[in-house]
Amino acid sequence: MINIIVITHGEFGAYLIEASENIVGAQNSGLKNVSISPRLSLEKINSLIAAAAAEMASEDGVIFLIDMPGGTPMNVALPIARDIPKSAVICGININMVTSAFAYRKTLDFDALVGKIMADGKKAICEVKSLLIGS
Amino acid sequence: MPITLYRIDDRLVHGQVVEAWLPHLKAGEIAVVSDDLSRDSVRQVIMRFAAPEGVSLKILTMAEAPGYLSEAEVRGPNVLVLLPGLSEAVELIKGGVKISKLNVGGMHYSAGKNLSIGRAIFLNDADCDALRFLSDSGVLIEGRGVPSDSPLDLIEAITG
Repeated sequence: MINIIVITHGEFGAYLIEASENIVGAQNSGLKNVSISPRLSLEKINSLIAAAAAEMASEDGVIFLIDMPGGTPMNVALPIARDIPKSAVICGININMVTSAFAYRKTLDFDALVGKIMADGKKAICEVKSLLIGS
Repeated sequence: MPITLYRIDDRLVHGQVVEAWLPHLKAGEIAVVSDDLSRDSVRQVIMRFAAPEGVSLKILTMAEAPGYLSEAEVRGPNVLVLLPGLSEAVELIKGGVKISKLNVGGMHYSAGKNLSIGRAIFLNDADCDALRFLSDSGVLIEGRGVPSDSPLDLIEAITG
C-alpha cells in the first residue's frame, strides 16, 4: 500500500483527513498528519516530518500531500522526500485529492496514483453555476 | 450478477457513493430509482456532474424500474442501484423486483425520525415497518455508510 503524509499550516490537514474519512471510510494505517503550528521551531518541524517519513516508509511508495507551494510544509518536506526514491510531493491539497488518495492507494501503482490525485484535484476547481446551469 | 448492490441513500449520487462504493463494486453504471428526481431537471444535471467519467447514470421512474432492472440483471456492466428511501425498496419488491441484499447508507434526520442507528440512519415508525416488510420478504438488510465500515444489523436494532 502507498502511504500518505499530510502536512499543512495549522489543523487544516487534520480536519481534511476527518472529512475525507467520512466520505471514503476510516484509514487504519499508512497515514500520518503533521500540523505545522507557528509555535514550532523550524528544527522541531523538520524532526516531526522526518519522523513521519521514517514511519511511513513503504516499498510501494509514499506521497506527501501539502497545502501551499512554497510554504513551510513544502520547504521542509522537499529535502526529506529528495532522499526517498519512490516519493512525490503534491501541493494544493483539497478534499478530492485526499479522497482519491485514500480510495485508490491500495489498487493503483505509484505513478498512476500520483497522476490520479493531481487530475482529480484540478478537476475539483470549477465554477459549477455557469458550467451546469448556464449564466 | 450485474446488479451488485441496492443502496438506500437520500443524497443519491454523492461523495461516499462516487469515491467509496463505485471503486469497491467496480460498477460501470448507477441506476437511480426516484420519481422526484425524474421530475427535477436541475438536480438531474447535478447528479450527472457528480457521477465520475466512465460511469453512466440512469435515472428511472418507479414505473420504469422493474423492467429496466430485470434487463440489467442479465447484461453488463455492474450496476449500483440507488434508492432515496425505504418506500422505493418496498414498491420495487411489490412490483416483482428481486432484491437479495439491501444496503442502508444514508437516511438523514428530519422531524419525526427519532430512532437513530449509527451516524447517518434515522428512522420513523413507517421506516421500521418498511424494514420489517423487506426483511420478511427475504431481503438481507445491512446498515453501512462506506464499504470499510462494519455492517449494522438494522432489524436487530429496531427489535431490541
